[in-house]
Amino acid sequence: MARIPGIRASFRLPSSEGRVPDEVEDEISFHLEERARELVARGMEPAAARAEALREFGDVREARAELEEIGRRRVRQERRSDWWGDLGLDVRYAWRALRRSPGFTLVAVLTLALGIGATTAIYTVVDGVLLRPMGVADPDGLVVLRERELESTTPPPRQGTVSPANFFDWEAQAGSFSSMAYFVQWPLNLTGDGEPQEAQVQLVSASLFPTLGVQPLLGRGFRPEEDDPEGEGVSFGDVAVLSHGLWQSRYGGDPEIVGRTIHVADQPLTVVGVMGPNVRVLDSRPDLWIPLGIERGNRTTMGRFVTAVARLKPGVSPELAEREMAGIARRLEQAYPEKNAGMGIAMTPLRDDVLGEVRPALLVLLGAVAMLLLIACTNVANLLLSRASTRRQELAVRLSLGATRGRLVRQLLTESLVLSAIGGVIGVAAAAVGTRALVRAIPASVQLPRLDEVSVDARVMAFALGVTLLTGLLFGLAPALVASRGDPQGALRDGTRGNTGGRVPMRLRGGLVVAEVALALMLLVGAGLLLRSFQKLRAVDTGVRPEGTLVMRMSLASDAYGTADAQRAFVARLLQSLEGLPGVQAVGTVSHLPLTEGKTGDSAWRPDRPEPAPGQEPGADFRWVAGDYFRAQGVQLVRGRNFDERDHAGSPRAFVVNEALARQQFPGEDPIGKRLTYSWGGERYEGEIVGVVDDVRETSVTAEPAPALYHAFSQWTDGSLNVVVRTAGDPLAVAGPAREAVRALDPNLPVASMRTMESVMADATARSRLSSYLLGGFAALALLLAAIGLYGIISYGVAQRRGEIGVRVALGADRRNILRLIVGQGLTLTAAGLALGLVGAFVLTRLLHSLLFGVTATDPLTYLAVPLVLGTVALLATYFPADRASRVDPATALRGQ
Amino acid sequence: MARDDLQLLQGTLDVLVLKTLSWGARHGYEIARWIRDTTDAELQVEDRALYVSLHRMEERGWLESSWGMTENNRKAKYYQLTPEGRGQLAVKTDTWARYASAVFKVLQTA
Repeated sequence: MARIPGIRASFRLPSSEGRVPDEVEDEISFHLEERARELVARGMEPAAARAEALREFGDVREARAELEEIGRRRVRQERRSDWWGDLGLDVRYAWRALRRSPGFTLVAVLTLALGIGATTAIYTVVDGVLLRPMGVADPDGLVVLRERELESTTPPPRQGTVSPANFFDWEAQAGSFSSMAYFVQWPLNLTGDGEPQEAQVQLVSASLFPTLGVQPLLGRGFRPEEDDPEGEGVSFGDVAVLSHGLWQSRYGGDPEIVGRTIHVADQPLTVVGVMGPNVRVLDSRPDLWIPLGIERGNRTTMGRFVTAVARLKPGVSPELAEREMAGIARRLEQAYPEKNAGMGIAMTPLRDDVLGEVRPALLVLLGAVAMLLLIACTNVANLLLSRASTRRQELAVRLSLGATRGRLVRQLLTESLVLSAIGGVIGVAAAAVGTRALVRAIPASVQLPRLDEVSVDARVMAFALGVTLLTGLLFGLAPALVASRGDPQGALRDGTRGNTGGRVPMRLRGGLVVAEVALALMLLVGAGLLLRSFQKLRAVDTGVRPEGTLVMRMSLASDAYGTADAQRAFVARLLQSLEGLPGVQAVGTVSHLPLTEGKTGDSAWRPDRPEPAPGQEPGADFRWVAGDYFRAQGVQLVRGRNFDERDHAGSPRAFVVNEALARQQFPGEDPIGKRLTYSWGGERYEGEIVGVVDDVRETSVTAEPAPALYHAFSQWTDGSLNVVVRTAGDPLAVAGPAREAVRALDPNLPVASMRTMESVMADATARSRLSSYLLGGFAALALLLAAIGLYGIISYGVAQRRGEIGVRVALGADRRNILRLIVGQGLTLTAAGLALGLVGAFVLTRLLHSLLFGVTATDPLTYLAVPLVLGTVALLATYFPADRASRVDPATALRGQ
Repeated sequence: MARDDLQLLQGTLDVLVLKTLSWGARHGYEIARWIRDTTDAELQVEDRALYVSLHRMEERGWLESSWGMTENNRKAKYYQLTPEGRGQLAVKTDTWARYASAVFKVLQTA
């Protein structure tokens, strides 16, 4: 009886409930036969012996049932504990195997960490910006309403397009909405209790909070009567609701805040409530809310300056509401043609309104980073395949010892999962740190809504876990299937001679490299297009010279500046005191800072021509400037003169226009000395053009300059100022002294947004810069990974073919032939990848359309340069292993192995 | 043998089987024969009870089984002690000895 202790597993039949009855039967019949045989040997009749054996045994049927029951129970239990036990075993085994090849493990883990980390980081941003709650109740029922010119192809500005007079008509007529509200946001000075501060104030209808479905944390919202002035000229009520942020930062979270008085633009207001921390109105989080208090039915002084939001009645589709609003707009056009001719209503779901612009960019980045992850997977899969062929002997031994193929696949997959888990942990840790860095690196000017909500949370972790598992399966499955494939004998025989890994893995690996090159190419083309767009953006002539210029904002809104004279006197003193600072070359103020502020949407025409029909007036944007603004901002004077002492409050009205307006109104003529009628808020102002200046991009870098008209501050006084200081050196060196100078003039006047004009310019292109740099970074990593992948497979191929190369050299092939052979192989793979990638890029870059500026999605330069770069890198990645191959000494190669 | 006696004997049977296996792996028939031979058939055990005992102890993890070949080249199911089973044998032997001596003491005091 030969039994070898410890070899139990190889004898044990696979546990399965189905086999239990057979085993029980075998065991019992063996017993009965042995016993009968023994009794026969003692001289019993065979039949009697059988009967005796049966008698001794007892009830065989009952025994069988009992034993089967126990057996089944045991198998089930064993299978459960086996699974976990094997898993522990597999993980330990995987860990040992990985530790045996630290180089492989390091490269694989880092590659995976990179892929998983980058994906998690971008997903974190996407999650925060696109997926978190919108800060209002049931956002899907909310829409944003704007008035828009029916003829215009450009979308209406985001803020302030609705005339409150029209709004009240909408509210009265529209049946699609359960509630409507409006708001307008202005910076206003917050004084008293500590430092003066400029606060973002939303002047709102009392219906805003109920419409958004948000509840105050403390106190209450606004009552309808607080938004309903009895007489004319009331602009504020006397109540305010604080945001959670302001309540915390300025009032230290004072629980007794409700009922306290605060001063906004010198107006005493009673705090009636505090909003919860997550409330958002569209994409903004104002510091406080005040009822705007517009008199209903007054149609005389109504510019378009509020933004409207409305909640759809349950069951009303957006399409239906849109049709109803179009009808209302037509009726308003007919009822008030002088105001509403040519105007329609644009309705956008709140979610699209807030996220519409950033969604494509974020999704492109997420797509890009997913591609990067795929490349990383491909690379690791390739590494695993090389490893698999060197481990064939080990696997063959296990197969021949009775391990099933499924068991081996599971073992190899466990190894992949251990790899991806390590990579995932490192990657997610890096992503958590990286996301914080990323969020900090994104300037506020990117105007990525809700960026403050970006953080690593449970959902992000779940995502990262999912990605990690998926990654492990993705890169592990094919190599595991290949490696565990049959024929242990062949492997054992081959293995000893270090033969090739077989044809199929080589073809699979080639395919992986082709895929990798194709993915890298698509990413590079995308990045190339975005970088070219960014470069074009930077090259745009904005009409200003930002170097050496400091800008700051202030609002002369308090009672001290209640008259135009007081404002003019202050501005004169301000200019004088800033001009006196060392290093300052020119100082001026402007009502709207270039590249930051919207259109004013006014109009201007020639009084010597027939007056344009209502709604047909040529548009012109209106700015008022003081001091030496044009020189301070670096705006070129093209003709005529700048404003000077001749243009004072009592002198005839003078205009400076930009070239766009000159071209529009005076084509082929000299506009200097010509007269112009300007219309603002229903009033007309006529004046004479004294100068023409260069066009300035006022709203954004991408928007073509619109006709614009400048007014002298002395003749058009308003307290909203952007001070522009041109310095000889570093503008920030003047920042402190300038702030001091303002404080010396008025200690209660807050100075806001002090920064260099260059940063204003950089901010204007920040979104493009960010997305192009991020995509560029991903593409560079993709290029690197693809190069590593190519290098890996060529090196591996060379190592495998040493013998063959040796024979070739021995048969007279020279270095050149060998080089050509190997490089050719690499270039074939590269070319296939490039061709595939070009097709993919051609299809996919269409998605980039909305992110491009000045280049088409099929920009020839990009499509030419990228394959060239990628091809060159591929050539280099192939050349080194090929060079090594060409130096093979035939004797060693043939003997060695 | 009556069913009641069989129940009574179950614990005893376990110790006997464990003891048998302490010398090495055996198949069920070998164990039955050994018990029959050593006890001179005094201890009449239904073979069925023996197999139930073997399978129960295997389920508890005191024994493990594997299929092997007998010297007559027949396939048989072999049982051997696990470390846990060895521990059980020690415990049960001890308990049995104390039980037996207690019973014996009672019987001695006439």
